[in-house]
Amino acid sequence: MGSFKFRSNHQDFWAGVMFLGLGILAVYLSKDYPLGRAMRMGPGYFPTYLGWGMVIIGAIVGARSFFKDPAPDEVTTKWAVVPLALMPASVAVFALLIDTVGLVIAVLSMLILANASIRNFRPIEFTVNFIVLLCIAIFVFQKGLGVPFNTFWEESLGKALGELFSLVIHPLRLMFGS
Amino acid sequence: MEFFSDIFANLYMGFGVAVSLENLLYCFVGCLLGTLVGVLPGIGPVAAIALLLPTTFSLPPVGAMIMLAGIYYGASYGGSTTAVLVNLPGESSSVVTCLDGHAMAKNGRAGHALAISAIGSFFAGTVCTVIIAFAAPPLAEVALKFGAPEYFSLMVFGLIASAVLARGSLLKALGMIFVGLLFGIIGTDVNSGMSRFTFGLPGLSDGIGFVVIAMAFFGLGEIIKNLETPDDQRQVFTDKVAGLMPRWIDIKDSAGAIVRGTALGAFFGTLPGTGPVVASFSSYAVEKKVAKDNSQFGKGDIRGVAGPESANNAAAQTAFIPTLTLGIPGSGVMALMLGALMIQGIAPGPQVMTARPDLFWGLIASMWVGNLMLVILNLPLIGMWVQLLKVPYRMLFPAILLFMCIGTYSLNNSIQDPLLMAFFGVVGYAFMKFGCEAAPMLLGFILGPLMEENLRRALLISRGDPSVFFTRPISLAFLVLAFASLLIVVLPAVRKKRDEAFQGDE
Repeated sequence: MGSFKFRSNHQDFWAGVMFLGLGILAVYLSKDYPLGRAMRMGPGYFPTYLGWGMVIIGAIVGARSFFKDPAPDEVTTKWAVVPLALMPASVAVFALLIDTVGLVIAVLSMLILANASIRNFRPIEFTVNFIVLLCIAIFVFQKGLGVPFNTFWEESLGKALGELFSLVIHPLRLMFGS
Repeated sequence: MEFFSDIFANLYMGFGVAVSLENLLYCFVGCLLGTLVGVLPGIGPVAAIALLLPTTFSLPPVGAMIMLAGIYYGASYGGSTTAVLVNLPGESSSVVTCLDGHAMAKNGRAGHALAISAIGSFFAGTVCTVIIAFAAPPLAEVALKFGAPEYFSLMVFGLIASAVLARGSLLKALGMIFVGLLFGIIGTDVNSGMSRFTFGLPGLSDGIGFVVIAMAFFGLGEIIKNLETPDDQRQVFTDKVAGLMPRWIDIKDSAGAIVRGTALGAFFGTLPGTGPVVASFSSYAVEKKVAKDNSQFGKGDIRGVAGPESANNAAAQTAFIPTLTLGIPGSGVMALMLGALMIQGIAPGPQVMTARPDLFWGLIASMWVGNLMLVILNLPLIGMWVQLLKVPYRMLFPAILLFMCIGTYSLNNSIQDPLLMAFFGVVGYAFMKFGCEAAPMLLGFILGPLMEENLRRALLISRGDPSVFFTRPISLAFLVLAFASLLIVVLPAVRKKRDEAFQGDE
């Protein structure tokens, strides 16, 4: 207690690092925006001061962690690395697939990734979940609320392939002159 | 007398709006969906509202707000149901309900706990509807006189108060407010047309949608956190729920608790910050103090359910007062409500009451209608909610994920929003890991652009002289209040009390 010591398991240290980092980033990025004066604030005025505020708060929060042992609820706990990678990934996969190959494949891929974080894979549960969720997605969101999803690739895949062709294959063919 | 007759005329008009067939339907659907999502363990009202918000975009403004209010009450009520039956609080304000509510469920009195919680909430809701009707117009009148300096100082006060009332470290809550303010000004600066912090991404030029931020921090981050514990360790209380009809003796026992809880909740709800949480915790503490025999608290005392649940609902309702009259949200949920108003093209603030009386009074009337609906809806449907609770989390979270994907996609029919949500979900989880609360961030996020605009205007009027904030009396008063609330926390004696209040006493 009380001595100056680096405590890597102290939440406050890392919270301080986050605030400090974001603050520095804000100040740094705001350098490109005119500061203006108090009477005519430029676009850089508010974010610059916000950034400095965060730097100060981050420094204090972080610095205090060197002098005080963390309370039991201030100790960093283990990170859920697998879900941390898989959950955002499944969202991203849904987003990347939905406009091209359509709802069915996007939902399926998303569910596969999401379920990969569960230890015991249960095929029946998975299938039931997939069918129920797909029905909700189609009948409630697509048909009911009018979210413009493609069910399958319909015209979108043709469009996507066309874009791919004009962006990649066509220039390549021109380059290599076939 | 004129004041009273005005209020009643307005309430009458409000009920005219609220009980139109269309709006009754929105209110009903909102309550039903809200409860449905709120019952799911691990989803609090903020995540529930963010999830369901896109479904209201196509509605007219009045219908959308009524449905959202229904979702909010439904989600809070569903959260209490889960707290009683599963001992998993979906939100921090249900933590207290868990203590005695779940103990009652273990003693086979789950039905009584749920019934008294419904009755207490309904009583609190009724009283607070009247309070709002009386308190809001004078407050809005005062607020109409506010200029930019007053608004800026009011926001400073609101944000600082929310940090003071947040759980955990004050400094970290302040830090999260700054994070929110910073995230909030991402996009095109309205004054200069300059893109700020967009990293060259064209989709960021309109800023990040608040639904994206709310879902990322309260939805995606929560899911990742919930998956830290393996699924098989979760326990669901699935015995049959009997005795839903409230018994006279229960009502007699808890009448005092309900009244005290309502009073506490009504007061705390109007304060900016996490009103319902503080309200329910303090109500529990008060009930324990007041009770002649408090040996049963924590083991299934009905007063330990009735008081906090009434306080919770009362605060949830009076939180609308600053939101609707000043345009300053007091909690994460209210921040979402304000965002929804803005999406509907309505600038929140005191002018709403005069410019859109149908919206304002219709919303207030529908609060009461919504509370009534919840009582009627929930007691018979409790069996259905119990069935829902039996669905294991490993099947639930993929569903929540999918709805978040679809919800964010449908905001602009663009894949950019779900991608942003994925990114901020990681950020949100990191902050959670470092013990930083997300609610102050959401408040800052909503207020960021407003605060900058009012600061700009205030300094323009004063020709760049910052003393304008101290020379105008109302502005000075807000700043003094803000400073005082900071002092209160820093003073050691009060600090101890605050910690105790948040610890609860198990």
